[in-house]
Amino acid sequence: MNVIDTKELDRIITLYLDGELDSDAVKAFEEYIATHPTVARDVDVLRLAKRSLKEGKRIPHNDWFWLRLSNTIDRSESRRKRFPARFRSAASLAAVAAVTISLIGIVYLKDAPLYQSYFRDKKNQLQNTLMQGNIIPFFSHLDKNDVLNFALFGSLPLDSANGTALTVKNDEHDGAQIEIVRDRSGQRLPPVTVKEFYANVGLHAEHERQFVDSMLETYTRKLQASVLVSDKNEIAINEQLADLNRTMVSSIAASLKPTQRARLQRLLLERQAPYAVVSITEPKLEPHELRQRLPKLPAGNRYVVISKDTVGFAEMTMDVEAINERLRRQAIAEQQMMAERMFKEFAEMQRQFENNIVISGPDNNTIRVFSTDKVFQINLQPPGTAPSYGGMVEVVRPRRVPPTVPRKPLNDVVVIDDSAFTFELSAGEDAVRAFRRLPRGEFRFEIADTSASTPKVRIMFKSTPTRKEIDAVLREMKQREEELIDIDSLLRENKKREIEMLEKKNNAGKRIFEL
Amino acid sequence: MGKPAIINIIDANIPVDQKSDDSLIMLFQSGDTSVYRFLVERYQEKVRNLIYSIFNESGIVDDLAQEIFIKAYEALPKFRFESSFYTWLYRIAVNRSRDEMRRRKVKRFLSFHSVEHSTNRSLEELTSTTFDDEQTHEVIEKTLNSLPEKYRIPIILKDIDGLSYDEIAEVLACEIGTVKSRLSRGRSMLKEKLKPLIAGAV
Repeated sequence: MNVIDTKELDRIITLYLDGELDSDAVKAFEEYIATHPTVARDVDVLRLAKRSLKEGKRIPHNDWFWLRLSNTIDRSESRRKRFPARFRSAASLAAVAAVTISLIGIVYLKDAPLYQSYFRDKKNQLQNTLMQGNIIPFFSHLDKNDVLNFALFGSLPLDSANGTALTVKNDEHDGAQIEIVRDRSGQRLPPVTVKEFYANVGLHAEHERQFVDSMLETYTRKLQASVLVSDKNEIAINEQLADLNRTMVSSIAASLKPTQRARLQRLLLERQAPYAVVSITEPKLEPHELRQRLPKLPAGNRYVVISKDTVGFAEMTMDVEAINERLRRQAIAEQQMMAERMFKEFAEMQRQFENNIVISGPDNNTIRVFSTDKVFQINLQPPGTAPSYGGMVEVVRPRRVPPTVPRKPLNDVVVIDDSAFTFELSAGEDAVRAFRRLPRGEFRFEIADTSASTPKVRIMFKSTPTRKEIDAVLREMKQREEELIDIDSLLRENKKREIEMLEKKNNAGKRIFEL
Repeated sequence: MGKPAIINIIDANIPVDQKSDDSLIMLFQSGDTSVYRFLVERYQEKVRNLIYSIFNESGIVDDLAQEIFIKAYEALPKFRFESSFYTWLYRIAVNRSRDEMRRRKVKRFLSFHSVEHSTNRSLEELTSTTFDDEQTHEVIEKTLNSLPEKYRIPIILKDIDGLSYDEIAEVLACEIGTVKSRLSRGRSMLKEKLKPLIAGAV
C-alpha cells in the first residue's frame, strides 16, 4: 500500500475496525500500519475507544418500566374510547376558550373568588402530578389474617424478617397517628389467625363466620387502596387510615352476641389492643339496626404523599381491582424485588425527615411528620383532639396504650401552607426588610403580610417545593439577614463618624469664635 | 419485506413470550394488544441504553423511553413489515432523541449556558490524573458526547449497539455510503480529540 490521502485513510481505518475489509485488504492495511507508526497509533486509539464503548457502563434495569408504561397506555386507551377522535379537536378549542375566559376573568374582573378558584384548580393539577407514573397498593398481598390483625391491633406487618410494621391509632391523648415502626420484634405479640379468633370469641355458627369473613374481604380492598407506592419512590397514605381499624373492630364487635363480645373484650385487653369494647350488653339494638348506626368506612380520597424530599396532599381515586389484576400478571419475583427496593427507599425517606414538618391541610388541619431511626410518624390530628363519630353508636373506645417510641418535641418546625404551596416562616424584622430588597422575579418567594405582630415571610413556589428547595430558601434567608446586619452596623458606624465630625467642626468653630 | 402471513402457522405452538417479533406484531394487529408487553420487555433495555448513550444522563432515560414505546404502540397497527421491528423502533428512538436534543439546544441558547465549556472542564479534570479503565471510559464517553450529533449517533449505533451498516442506514433513513462516511468522519474527529487526552492509555 502506497501513500494514502487522509480522508481515504480514515475510511479504510473505519472499515478495518468494523471488520468490513476483505482478507487481502486487511493484510495490505496491516503491512501498511507496520511501517507507519503514526497511523498505527491512530488505529490503537480508535480500537481502544471502540472496545471501551462496547464494554461501557449500562443503565440499571428498571423493574417498573412495563408497569408504568401499561398504566399510561391504559389511560390513553380509555381516554380515546371515552372521547372519539372527531370530538378531540373541538374539545381542545373548548379548553383553550375556557382558559382564555378564566384569564380574562382574572385580569379584568379582578374578582377575588375567581382568583381563588383559579389557584385552587391550579393547585389540584399540581397535586395530581405528585403521584405520576405507577401507583400500586403497598399491601398487594394481604390475607384475611393480616386484615383481622389490623382491625384488632391497628398494625400491619411490612417486613416480617425485621419486624417493621405500619401502625395506626386515634385517641384523645396522642391524636390521630400513622407510624412506620422499625424493629418491633421485642415488643410484639404473635398475630392472631382468623381461626384462632373464631375459637377465642366463640364464633361457631357458619353464618356468623361468613359475616365476619365478608367484612374482612371488604376491608382488604379498603386497606389496599389506603397505602400506595409509586415508582417515583413516593408513598401515599389515605389520611383516614387512622380511623379505619376502629370502624373495622366496631363492625366486628357489633355483629357479636353479648357472650362473644365479652370474649372479644378479654382478647383485646390481653393483647394490649388500642380499643376496648364499650359495653358487653349495650347498646341494646338488634344487630341489623346496630350495623346501620355504625361509623361508615372512611370514603375520603385525600392522601398524604411523602417522597424522599417533600410532603404534600393529593386527591386520588383508586381502582384497586384493576391494579391488582395487573399485579397478578406481574411475576412474583418482580414484585418481591419492587418491595425490597421500596424498603431501601423508605430507609432513605426516614433519614430525610429528621426535623418535624408540619403541613397545614386544606381544612385547617395540621399534619406533623417526623422521623427517628426507629419510627416514621405522621400525626394527622394534634394530641388532645377527641375523635369524632358524628352521632354514630360507639361500640369500642380507645384505650391508652404506651407509645412504642418516645415522642419528639415540637421544636424546629417548618410550616407548609398547602393552600397555595407556600411556606410561612416566622422571621425577624431584619429578614423581612432584607426580603423587600430582593429583586422580584429572580426568586421564587415573596413577603407575606407583615402587619402581624410577628412578621412572616411567605415563600411561594410554582409547584410543591422539595426539601432541597426549602433548605436553599432557609439558607438564603439566613445569609440575607447576616448581610443586612452588616449593612446596618456599617450605617450606624457612618452615622457615629458623621456626628463625631460634626462635633469636631462645632468644637473647631467654637474655638475660632473664642479666639 | 412483505407481511409474513406464513409465520402464524409456523410458530402457532411456540409460547407467546418466545414468538418472533413479526408474529407478535401480527397478533397485535389482529387485536391482541397484550402481546405488546413481550416486545417491550425484549427491547426496553436496548432502547433505554441507546438513550443513555446519546444523552449520557440517567434522569431522562425512563421518561423518553416511555414516550418512544407509546409512540411505537400507537404506530404498530400501521407497521408494514418493511424493516425489522427493532430497526423501526430504533428509528423512532433516534428521531425522538434528536427532537429532545433540539429542544435542549433552544433552552440552552435562551439560558446562555454552554455545555461545551462544562464538558471541556470535566475532561481537563479527568485527564489531570493517571488513567484507569473507568477513567479512560469516561474520557472516551465525554469526548464522544462532544461530537456533533450527525457523527455521534452512527458511532453509538455501531460501537455500542452493534448494528450493521445496513441497519444503521435503515434507522437513520439514509444510504449506506452516508453511514460509512459519517462513521469515518466521526471517528476521525474522535481520534483527533482523544489522542492528546489518553496518551498513556494506549
